[in-house]
Amino acid sequence: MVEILPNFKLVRPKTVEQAVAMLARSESAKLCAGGTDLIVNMRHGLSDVHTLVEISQINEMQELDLDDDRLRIGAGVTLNELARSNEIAKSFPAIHQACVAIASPNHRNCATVGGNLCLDTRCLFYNQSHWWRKSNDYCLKYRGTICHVAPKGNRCRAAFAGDLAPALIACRADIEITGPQGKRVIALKDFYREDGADHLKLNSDEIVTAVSVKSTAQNSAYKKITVRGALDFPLAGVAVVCNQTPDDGRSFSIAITGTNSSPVVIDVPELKKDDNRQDFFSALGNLVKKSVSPQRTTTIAAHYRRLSIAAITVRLAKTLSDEGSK
Amino acid sequence: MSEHLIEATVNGRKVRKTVKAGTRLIDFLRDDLQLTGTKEGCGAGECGTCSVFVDGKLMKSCLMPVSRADGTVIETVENLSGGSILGERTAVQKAFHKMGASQCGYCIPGMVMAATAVLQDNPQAEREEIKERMGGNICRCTGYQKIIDAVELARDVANQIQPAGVLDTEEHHDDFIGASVWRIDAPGKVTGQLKYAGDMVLPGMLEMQVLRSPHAHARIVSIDFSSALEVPGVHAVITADDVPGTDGYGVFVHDQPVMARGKVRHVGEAVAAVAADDLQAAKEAVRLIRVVYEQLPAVFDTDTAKAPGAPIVHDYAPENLVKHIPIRKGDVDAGFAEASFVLEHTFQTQPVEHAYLEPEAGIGYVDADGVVTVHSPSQNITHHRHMLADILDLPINKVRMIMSPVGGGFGGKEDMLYQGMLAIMAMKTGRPVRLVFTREESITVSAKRHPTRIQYRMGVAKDGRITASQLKCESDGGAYGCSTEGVMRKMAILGPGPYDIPNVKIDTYGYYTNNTPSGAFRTFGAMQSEFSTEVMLDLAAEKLQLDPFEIRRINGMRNGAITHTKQKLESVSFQRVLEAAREGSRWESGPSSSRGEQRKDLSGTDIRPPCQLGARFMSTKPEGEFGRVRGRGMAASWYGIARTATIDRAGAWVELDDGGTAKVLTGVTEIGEGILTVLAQVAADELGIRPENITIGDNDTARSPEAAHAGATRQTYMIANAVALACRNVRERFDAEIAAFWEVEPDQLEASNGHIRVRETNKSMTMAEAVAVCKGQRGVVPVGSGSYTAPHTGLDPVDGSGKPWQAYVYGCQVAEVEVDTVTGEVQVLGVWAAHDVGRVINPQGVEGQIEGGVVQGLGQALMEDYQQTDGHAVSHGFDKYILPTSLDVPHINSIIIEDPDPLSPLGAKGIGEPALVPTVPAIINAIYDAAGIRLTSLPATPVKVLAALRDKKRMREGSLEAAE
Ligand SMILES: Cc1cc2nc3c(=O)[nH]c(=O)nc-3n(C[C@H](O)[C@H](O)[C@H](O)COP(=O)(O)OP(=O)(O)OC[C@H]3O[C@@H](n4cnc5c(N)ncnc54)[C@H](O)[C@@H]3O)c2cc1C
Ligand code: SF4
Ligand code: FES
Ligand code: FES
Repeated sequence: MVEILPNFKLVRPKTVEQAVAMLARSESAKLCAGGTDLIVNMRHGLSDVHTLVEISQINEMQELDLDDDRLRIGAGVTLNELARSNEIAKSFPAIHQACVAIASPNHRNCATVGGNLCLDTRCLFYNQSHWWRKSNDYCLKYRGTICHVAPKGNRCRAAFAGDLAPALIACRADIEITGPQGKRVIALKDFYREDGADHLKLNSDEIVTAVSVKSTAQNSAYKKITVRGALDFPLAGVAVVCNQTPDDGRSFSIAITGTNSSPVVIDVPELKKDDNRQDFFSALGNLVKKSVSPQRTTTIAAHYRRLSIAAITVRLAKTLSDEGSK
Repeated sequence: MSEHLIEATVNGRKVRKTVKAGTRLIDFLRDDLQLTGTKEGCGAGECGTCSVFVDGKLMKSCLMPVSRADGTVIETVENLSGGSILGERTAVQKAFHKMGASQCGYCIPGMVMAATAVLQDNPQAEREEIKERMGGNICRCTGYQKIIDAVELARDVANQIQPAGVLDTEEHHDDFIGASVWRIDAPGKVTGQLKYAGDMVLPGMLEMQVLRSPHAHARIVSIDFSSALEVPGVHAVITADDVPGTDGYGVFVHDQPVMARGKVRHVGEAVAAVAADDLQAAKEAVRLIRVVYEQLPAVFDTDTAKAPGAPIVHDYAPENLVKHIPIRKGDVDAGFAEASFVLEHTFQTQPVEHAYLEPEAGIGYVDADGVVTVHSPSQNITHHRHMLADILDLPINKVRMIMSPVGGGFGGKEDMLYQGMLAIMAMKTGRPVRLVFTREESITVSAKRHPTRIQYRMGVAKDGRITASQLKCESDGGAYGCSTEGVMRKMAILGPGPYDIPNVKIDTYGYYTNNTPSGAFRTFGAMQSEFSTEVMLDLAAEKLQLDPFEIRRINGMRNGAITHTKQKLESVSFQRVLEAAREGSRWESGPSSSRGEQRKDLSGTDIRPPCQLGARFMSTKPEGEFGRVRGRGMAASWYGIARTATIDRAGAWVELDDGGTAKVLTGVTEIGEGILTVLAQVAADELGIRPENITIGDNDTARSPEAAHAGATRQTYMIANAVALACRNVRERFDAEIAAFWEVEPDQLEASNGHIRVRETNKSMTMAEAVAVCKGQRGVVPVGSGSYTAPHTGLDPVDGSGKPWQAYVYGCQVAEVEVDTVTGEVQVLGVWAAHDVGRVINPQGVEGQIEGGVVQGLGQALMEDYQQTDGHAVSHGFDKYILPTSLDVPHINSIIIEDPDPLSPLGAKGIGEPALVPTVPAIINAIYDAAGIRLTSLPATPVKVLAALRDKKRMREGSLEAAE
């Protein structure tokens, strides 16, 4: 049965530097942002944290800047702050739509952008109470030796189901990471790794401090598949950015969440003005189907997630390419 | 242990406390500050009952370590009305009261906070925005419609579109029957002042925790709890060995031990319990109990359970059969021979969780008179007292059951799951003992709706008449009997629907397995069998090119009809109800062959727009409309009122009291449906005073007469009649005294609205004066009693004939859906629900029951599914067992039909359960209308919808190829 929250020490640094130092000091220290993912997992006994390094007082992580050149979002910005910006909604529809589709308004008041990007992977056999996991012999991802989803495999297939990551990746975002050695910036798509038990390329003493994207006009959208209108993680979700090319073709940037242990980037060729659209889009659908590998990690069947994500990717891409670029 | 000093401003007051860093904000508010208006429905961010403001922002307090709240300003629901039930309530709270937005009330404090946040953020928020912003708050009772109505009303008052006075004045009626009298229990709910069992604290109280079985079927070899007893703070450990009397409980058979005895039969079954000074010690001690199990072969489906050689769940039932109910009328083979075609289909329904937002909780103690008392949200204190007396081996008057406010029941709180443990632990420790289930515990161990396979054969003549119906229903009853017997009976009796069918053969079978037990759930099995009937009729209508209303009109029962159990019905409103639904929904008549094409009655004004998250913020539509199709379906239903095929009864005592007020005592158990308000209306009307002058003493087996359980849609029918009879009894006595005082005849007297007078004279007194006369001058205390009985008869064991109920109600619903053929997602946009309720006592309350029932039906039609693998529940949190949110619900148009019951003094029948019966088939039939796919297994998840669409496409392509 669900446990009481284990006891821990909470520290509240004022600067990124202090936070990094606190993380470096102890193996069992962990970053806590909104806590909307972390606290549930801790009550399920899914981590041995002794110190929580809480970031809400680090002002430099709360900044949200949009200028002609770049949109830069501090990792500590809450999802509702992000959602509130009309300019972002207008300039980056996919980011906005992904943001307002996360959990529910009360979560978004404290859930952060950084937390959403660093969200733990999810699985039917993992997001369960300690009692349940113990009754089922634990699993590979935490404390166990086998994977119930793919018993023959030797890696965890838990799914990454954050909504923001695909939208930002489709917008070709960069992520800023600060550690004891200072700041490094990498493409967000390279931040993830296809391993459900270790899906972030982030050291335990590093902090995600911001994400940024170039401010270019874009035509984009995000859509997630869920059974109901609120509170559901995406069974699968897709962000599509579509731009008009100089010769009136269309270029696409597409990323998918919910199907693999990391967001999946779909490399799509350009749709040329004279291409046969039907062929192009049916090839796109097949490409998506081939690229994703949903597993039995949700109550909803994996094959459905594959089919439906391919179908809505095609629908979004078609709709956006019809609308043309603005 | 790390401790934190917390300094925060809570509800305007500075608070300074040292707490463990791991304490959540919700624990701090509830346990340290006793602000119990903040509720814990799930503890995992999935329901919203814990919503509070932190620095002005709405947050879920179950997700926040209190150490993070250091230095913040916190506001809870108590702050809105100044921390008191007597304080001035806010416009939102008043609007909730006026609109009837609260039922069980458990979600309501969180809802009020969320609504307050919406209007703070955007005082002009439109309906769709309100729904979107309240998406994090689940309500299981109301269907959200009245909640959203209330927020709109509060908004309009704030914007002076409506005068503020509408929130304060209840339009005054003199006739309280048929008036939407405001719910008398709403103020305590909207202010968070009502205390549920988990909110109660007694001096010296211990916390109890339960060790539960990790196996589906295993012999218990040994239990060693010596190290558990060593944990500091632990008082006692109990196991089956501590049960003093005859162990066993159950609604029909007493096959369930208080704690596992010798073997466990399902995952999560209680094995031992610990009581300690605090929760942490109790949890730690539970972990230290060592149980050695020897696993036994287990059975998880009905086909295996009934096969020879299957593992035996209970020794007394070697064939794993809990109950078989047969019903026979006419000769089905002759009926099939006469038919122009015979349809044959198999249906499968899923296990459904009640998902009341209040997890099970209770307090047990032994009082100074040695009476063992259990306070809990029990739906059946009468029966629980009987069973507990046997279990404890005590005289019945030494056991007392008090129903605490029920935060939703729907049948799920009829089983005596934990009250036995509480009583035994209280006796063993001599201390009050409290147990509060976690959400996981609640879902894992409480009974579910019976998953049922229905094999159906229906013979239909060319003119649309059903010539024969044959149903074989097999249900998984899980590990214990619970209500299975009764569920099988109701499933059988009502199965073929409200249709005149000459030849009927029904068999329902409930089996034992090692799954979570199945039990009572709103409609008690009728939903499953009637669902299949209504889909069968849609299929038959299509084959005959008939309008689906028409085939029901042809077959529908009329006055004098003979039911499947050969009961003759006097007054049947079915045809009226059908017509009302058809008119109300402006149904476009015609055969089902136009299905899949655009109908003219779609997309009218009384539906909601489909939900597209974030669409309001976008300049262009995110994705084209293509792939989305709409359609409409309909279905009808019937239902029997009060306990099935057994004599039903209820009692009440009434006293006309000083000041012209009255006390009504009855063992009624309000579970959120509004029965207390109904009783106040009935008593006021009968006594001639006003509802606000009625005090109802309810829910206590030691202080009020028996009124039996909250279920079977029996409360208004049985208890309101008992109260009416008791009031008439008082009035007889009272009127005699007043008449003697005035020296007139009693039949010259009339009373209403707080006055009693002699007809056609100017002799008149206030009720207050009259009571003073009766007592002070005549020396009589005006008391009376009433008992009402419904003389139902049992069913014949061979052919099932009998008179299971004296009153029946009928319903018919139309649903409009939008199917996304690309993703398989289905949204229900509108529902028109026509229901006969007998005589309406409170129209707003009836609408509330219809709206709540429809949304529960929607959940069962589209999303809810309690999944188990080898007996282990997979979906035991609200993240995996998903419930409809405010964004998923249709606009519901309630159409109330009144066909008073001639046999009942009040004429009222009931509506608690029946509203959800037609919803499920109406939605399934609408999906067919929209997309041409016929689903026979519930729920219609996007997976099944998409698979069916692909099959259809493949078949079409296949047949094209064949044609070429
Ligand atoms: C009922 C419910 C529904 C939900 N639905 C959705 C949904 O639909 N879509 C969705 O995407 N999410 C959903 N979530 C998950 C979660 O609420 C969000 O992903 C949220 O954005 C997480 O942010 P947070 O700030 O609360 O993260 P936290 O819980 O604080 O942290 C999450 C993880 O990220 C790490 N972390 C946080 N910030 C940083 C940082 N700056 N640098 C490095 N590591 C960091 C933490 O150590 C932790 O491991 C849901 C959660 C609940 C409870
Ligand atoms: S995918 Fe396998 S290893 Fe990973 S969480 Fe699920 S069951 Fe465990
Ligand atoms: S108790 Fe916090 S959201 Fe359910
Ligand atoms: S009134 Fe909302 S859960 Fe009962």
